[in-house]
Amino acid sequence: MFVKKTGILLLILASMIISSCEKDDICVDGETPLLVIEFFEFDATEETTKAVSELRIVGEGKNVTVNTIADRSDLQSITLPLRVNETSTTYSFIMNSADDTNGAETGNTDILTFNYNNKEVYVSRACGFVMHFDTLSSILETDTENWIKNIETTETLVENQAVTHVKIYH
Amino acid sequence: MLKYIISIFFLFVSILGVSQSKTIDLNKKDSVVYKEPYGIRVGADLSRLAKNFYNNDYSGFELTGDYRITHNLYIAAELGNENNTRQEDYFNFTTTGSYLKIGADINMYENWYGMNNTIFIGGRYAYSTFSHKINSYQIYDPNRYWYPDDFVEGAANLSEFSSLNASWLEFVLGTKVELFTNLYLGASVRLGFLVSNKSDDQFANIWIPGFNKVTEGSKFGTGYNYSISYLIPLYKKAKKKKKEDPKTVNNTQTKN
Repeated sequence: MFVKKTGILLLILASMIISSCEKDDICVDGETPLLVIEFFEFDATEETTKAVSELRIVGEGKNVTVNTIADRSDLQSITLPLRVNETSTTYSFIMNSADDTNGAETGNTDILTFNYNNKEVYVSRACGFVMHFDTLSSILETDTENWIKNIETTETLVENQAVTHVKIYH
Repeated sequence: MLKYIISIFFLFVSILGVSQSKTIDLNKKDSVVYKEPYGIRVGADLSRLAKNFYNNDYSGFELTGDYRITHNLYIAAELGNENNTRQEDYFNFTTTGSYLKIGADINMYENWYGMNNTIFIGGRYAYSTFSHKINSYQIYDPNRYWYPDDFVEGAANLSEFSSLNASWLEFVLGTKVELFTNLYLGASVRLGFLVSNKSDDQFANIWIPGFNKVTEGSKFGTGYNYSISYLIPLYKKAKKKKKEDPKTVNNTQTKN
């Protein structure tokens, strides 16, 4: 009888341990990836990275700069968030960003639009669903003085941040 | 009048004397052999029934049944249908499906005379077919630049993930107690081990009817039930006597 009772208690205990301790309580498996952009030297014969000086990036219709990069700093590689409930995201890339005495922008502004398709992907119980983007394309709005000379979408599927998706030559 | 009463009194005394002429066997063996009831026991899980009332996100039932084969061996089965909605951190989904568990129970408890209780261990092979429906979900996107307040609600209508199935082995430990004649109250705890698990490419089976919650990276699941069941008695059979008991043998000899 004692053995039986101990057995029952052990089983109940084991059940409680198995059902309560979960490795999937906190989301660690993945999240919606950011777009990875790298800047390259346009004139170089061999592919060489080239930082953009005093880069400032502002999303279309936003009055704050993007929160994934240090504002007005020299950057050679950046990450940008894409809008998950839209199929395009537009950013103003401002080189040599500075304010004049009146507070107006004096840098060279180029407007880039990223078009893509949304793909909702289930990750885990804790993370739920994340967004992946495929058929990515980048369009530069031409103006009188584009500092961006060429754009190359090297990876059309955005599912992680391990690879560079867009190469910008300037 | 008194004379008659006294005479009658003496008459009884004489009868008593006759009955006492036979020696009393103080170590008399019970000649009535208890016959154990055999039959089909059918019932329902009370915990799942009750859950229909206190939990708005659940509807379902489980029917239980067993058939006694020998003194301590029963064929047992459970049949259930469940509709369960779960709220996770970033999504809400409903699982609908049915399951069937078939196996055996072995009674480990030796009853006293006339009792028909069981404390059993058992095993089941279980199979469930089900579908999931995502009711609402948010896109897990920690960047707050475009959406300063909260995660974006998922816009695409994720269709129902149907024709899914899973099978598992279940270890059961339980008891059934006879409350009234042929009416039993039972309880059991179950530990399941997933054998097969067919899920949709776009969603995981994180809850399976009959198996309950599936933990990612683990094949184990737990469950329980509280059953009320009724025994439909078909026939009665006495338990086979053990021959190795020397006292019983001696008693029978002296009597003969």
